[in-house]
Amino acid sequence: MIKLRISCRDATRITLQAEDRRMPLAERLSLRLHRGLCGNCRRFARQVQLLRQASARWRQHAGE
Amino acid sequence: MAASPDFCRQIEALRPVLLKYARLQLRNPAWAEDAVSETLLAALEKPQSFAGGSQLKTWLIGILKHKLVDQIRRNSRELSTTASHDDGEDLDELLFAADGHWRETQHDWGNPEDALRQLDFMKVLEACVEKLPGQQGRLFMMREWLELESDEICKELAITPTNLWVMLHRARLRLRDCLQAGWFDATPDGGVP
Repeated sequence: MIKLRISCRDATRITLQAEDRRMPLAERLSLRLHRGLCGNCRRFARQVQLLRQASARWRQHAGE
Repeated sequence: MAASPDFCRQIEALRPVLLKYARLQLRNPAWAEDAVSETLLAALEKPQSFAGGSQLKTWLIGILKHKLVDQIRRNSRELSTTASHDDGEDLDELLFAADGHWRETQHDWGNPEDALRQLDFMKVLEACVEKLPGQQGRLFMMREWLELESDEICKELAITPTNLWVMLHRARLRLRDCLQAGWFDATPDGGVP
């Protein structure tokens, strides 16, 4: 059986790795569940999202 | 077709900005010089391939990105042997307690648009990328600036996917810390409105 409850440390690892590859279903599920319960990890996920948008903007900015 | 004097002057003026990105990507001043020289030479040899519609800088950056990949390929052996000596400290240990919980409360960065539309934010981001340890910075740039896929990066540098993810994990955590300190803590109205 898959481990549904993960730690913030694991959630962070999955969140960051998802930037570079598609994560397995079980990890995506655990992550969703964890974020539903943890405000810190929700905010961290939004920080990573902002980081991604910032990189895209920066790339665009270089070409302008 | 020879490049016009005006074209030459414009190309020359853009050299510093190309060099900045080349250094950020390669983390080696000599390789960066070479990549930029190759870019400028290619531009001067084929000025007719610049379709005036787009900006000259956009066109040059496009050429530069190819030359940077060439340069990485050429020096891949040296890159993979020097790779693991500049990791810096392990942020995970600082961020998480032994039970896997965050040691500190994570901050709300607010609406991304508030930060992203500001030119100063881009400067802080650039400074943070520059501060990344060598290999972390190189890999982050390959992924986010050259927009290479993970497997391409692994192939070019002869590293394992696990190694790549570990390095990118560290790079992104470090960038996040740097932006927290350099932007969100430093500009009270830059983060949470």
